[in-house]
This record gives sequence, structure tokens and C-alpha cells, in this order.
Amino acid sequence: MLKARLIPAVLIRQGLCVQSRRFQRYQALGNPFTIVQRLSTWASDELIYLDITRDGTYDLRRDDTNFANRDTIEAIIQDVADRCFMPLTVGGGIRSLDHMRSRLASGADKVALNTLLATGPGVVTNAAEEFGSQCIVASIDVRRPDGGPGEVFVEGGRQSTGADPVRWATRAQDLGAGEILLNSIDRDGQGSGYDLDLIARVAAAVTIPVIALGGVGSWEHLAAGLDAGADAVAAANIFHHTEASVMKAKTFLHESGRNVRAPELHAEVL
Amino acid sequence: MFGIVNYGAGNFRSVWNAVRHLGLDPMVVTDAATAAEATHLVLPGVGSFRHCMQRLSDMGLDRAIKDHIHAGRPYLGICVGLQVLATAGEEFGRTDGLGIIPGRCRRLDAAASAGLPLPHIGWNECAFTPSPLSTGLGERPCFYFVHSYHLEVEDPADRLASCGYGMTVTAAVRRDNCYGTQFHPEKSQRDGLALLRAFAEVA
Repeated sequence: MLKARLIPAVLIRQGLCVQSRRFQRYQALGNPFTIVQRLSTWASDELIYLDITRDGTYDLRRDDTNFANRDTIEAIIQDVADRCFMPLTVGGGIRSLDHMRSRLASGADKVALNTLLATGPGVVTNAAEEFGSQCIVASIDVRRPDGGPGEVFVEGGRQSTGADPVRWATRAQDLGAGEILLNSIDRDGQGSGYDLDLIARVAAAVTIPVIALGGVGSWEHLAAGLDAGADAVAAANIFHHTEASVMKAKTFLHESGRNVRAPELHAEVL
Repeated sequence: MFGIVNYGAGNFRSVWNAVRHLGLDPMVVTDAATAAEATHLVLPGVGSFRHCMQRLSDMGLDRAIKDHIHAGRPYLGICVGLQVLATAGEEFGRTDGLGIIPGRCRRLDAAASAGLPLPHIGWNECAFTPSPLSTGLGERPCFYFVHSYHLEVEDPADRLASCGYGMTVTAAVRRDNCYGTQFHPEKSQRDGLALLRAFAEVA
């Protein structure tokens, strides 16, 4: 049977890996290349790279690293893809077919589209036709301030669409997306777990796979995400604090009886 | 010469990186002339069967690939690169394939009927029949799949590996030195690299 997936998400802001809280506060974590090396070695099933840079500059401007400064997102993707023999999804600021082509040509396997679902649904469909639905991940950010059904936000959580998340997800599927990346803005960086109700409702409504993101503070939260109906569980912040953390997460899920790949070292990958 | 076809689909670079990581020195194949120089030929396919066949035809590679396979030289088709070995594909209507492995590419309908998500995306455990490609694989190898169609072989002997997803999914095919994997070895970490290495060693 198909295994459930564990997917570290790396947020990049101006060329640096960062962690976020409720899409607001960003703490720098370091060089994305060293981070992906660690994540690739330790039992990750895929990687998600989300570029949350706002003003288009990427240069790390540091001479103390072993890597050349990279000044475009494509260059960053290339360096990641060159080291990474597992699927890589790239998102953030993708607004055109050209953006998608350049990222896929640089080595990304899938592109995550977020604001484009609101501003250019036709482009999403064209992308699915050109690259195949399996390349298109619909990235959906949700706020539920008063515990209601929730509302989809775009533009990095700044712009409300007024749309119900379940309807937005089924619409994304109809437009040609092959997967949903479902992110809770309220839960982001809080460490109190996924929005399990939201995951369950969206997973029940679509026939494409659903990846959950936002709120993981413990390995149990990952397990709860799978139990709620997510096909894959992603997390950003939690994997950056402990050594071998992806391995530990994978081990926990495997030993608790969840249907994930047995954890083992992939030392020779890098 | 280890040749990798680039027909403009997204995942040429990933296969290139993986092959180079293994210490090989691959060359890009974009026409019949470069295909003819290859001792080993890899077709990494992504997207649609119909688009792939159209591009191969435009580039003169449909003929060149058939010649390569009929000459007994090792071929490895990945994902759509496996599917085009079929008699025909049924996505967007009927499209002729290369006709090397009798069978049709059909949607994983039984999986969908079983309530499973499509595309089939993620790591699935494969059962292989013995072959040179299995050298160096773990005991119950998992590989990364991302597809909604698979090759339904007419002759079960052509099925090299299968996996389960509410139905039996053709994971790999083989006829003599012609191989195909529905999964992506270049995205399958250790077992994927081992499979690519084993393919490179096929004489």
C-alpha cells in the first residue's frame, strides 16, 4: 500500500531559511543548503520549499559559508535539487507559466500555487495541461478566527478571498491541481497541533491527496494529522530545532503503527 | 555512452543529476544522431503520454528508440517513458505508443472506485521478479510514484514489478534489455540510485 508521507517544509525569505509564527514573525535559521542536506539525509519523504521573500532580493551576502551566494530563486532551487534525490515542491510568488517553467527546469518537481488560484485560475488550468496535474499543488492558507468554517487568505495571509476552504479546495481540484497543501494560519508556529477539523473536512471533499501544514509541536501532532485524513503531514518549524529530528518523527510514526516508510539512514544520498 | 533523452519535459535534470552522482558521464539525447551513439538510453517522461509521443515524433526519436531497443541495447523508460512502450495510451483519447510491450495505458480506475486519491502520489512498496535491475535493492523496496495511469500488460511475463493501490499497479516492465519503471528512481533516494546503478551495469 501507499505509505503516508512526512514532508519537511523550508521557508525562505531573502535567501535565508526562516521560521514563522502566524505568517508574521520571522526568525532566521540559516543557510538553506546546509538545511536541506540535513533534511535529505534523515528520512524525509519529500521537501517543500516556500519562498516568502517580499521584495525579490535573495543574496545571502555572506562570505563565511561554503556556498556561493545565490541571487535568484532558480539558483537556490538548482543547488537544492542537485543534492536532493527526492521530490521537491517549490512555492511562493508563482504568478505565471514562465515562473513555473523556470522553477521546474531548475529542478523542482512540483509547483505550489496560492494567490494564483484567486487572481489567475485560467493560468492554473493551463499549467495543469502543460505540466500535468501531478506537478500542480494548490496551496491553501486558512484563517478561522472565531472557530467558524474558516476563510481562505492569499497574498501571504494578507488578502481575504471570502471563500470557504472546502469549496476553495474542490475548486482547485476542478481547475486541475493534483494535490492540496492545506495550511492553518492561526496554528502556524504555535506548536499546538494541526487544525484537525479543517483537515478532515477538506480531505473528505476532494479526491486528490491532501498535505497538512501548520501547527506541529510534537510527533503526536503528525500522527493526529494522518488519523484526521491527511495523506501527507508537513511541518516547518519543528524540524529545525533538534538533530536528526525528521528521523525521530519518522521513527515515532512508524513505531506507533502509522503506515509510513520504515526509517533508515540514507547516508549515501549525499 | 549513457544517453538521457531531453524532450523538454520537467524531470530531465533530476535524472541527469542522479546519473552524474553515480559517477557516470551521461550525454544528452535530442535526436536520432545522438541516440545512435548511446549504448544505454534513458527516457525520463513526465506529463502526458500524448505530449511525449508527439515530441518524440517531432524529434525523430520514436524511430531511434525503437531501433535502439530492437538492437538489444539497454533502455530504461521512467514514468511516461515506460508508458510509451505500450501499444496505446488512453489519456485524452487514444494515442499510439511505441508498441514494444503489448498493452494499454489506462487510468487507475479501480483505485478511484476504492475511494483512494488520484494521482497515486508517494512511496509505495514494490514486489519485483528477479532481474539484473534488482541488484542492490533493499528487501521490500519503496519507490516514489506520481501518476494516474499505468500500463496494463497483455502478457504478465512483461511485468517486472508491481505495487498495491486498491488494485495491482504495474510498477515496472521488462522485455529482454528494455526496462521501464512507473516510479521515479531519480526521486527514490537509496533504492532509486541503486536501480539506476544496476541499469548502468546491464550489458
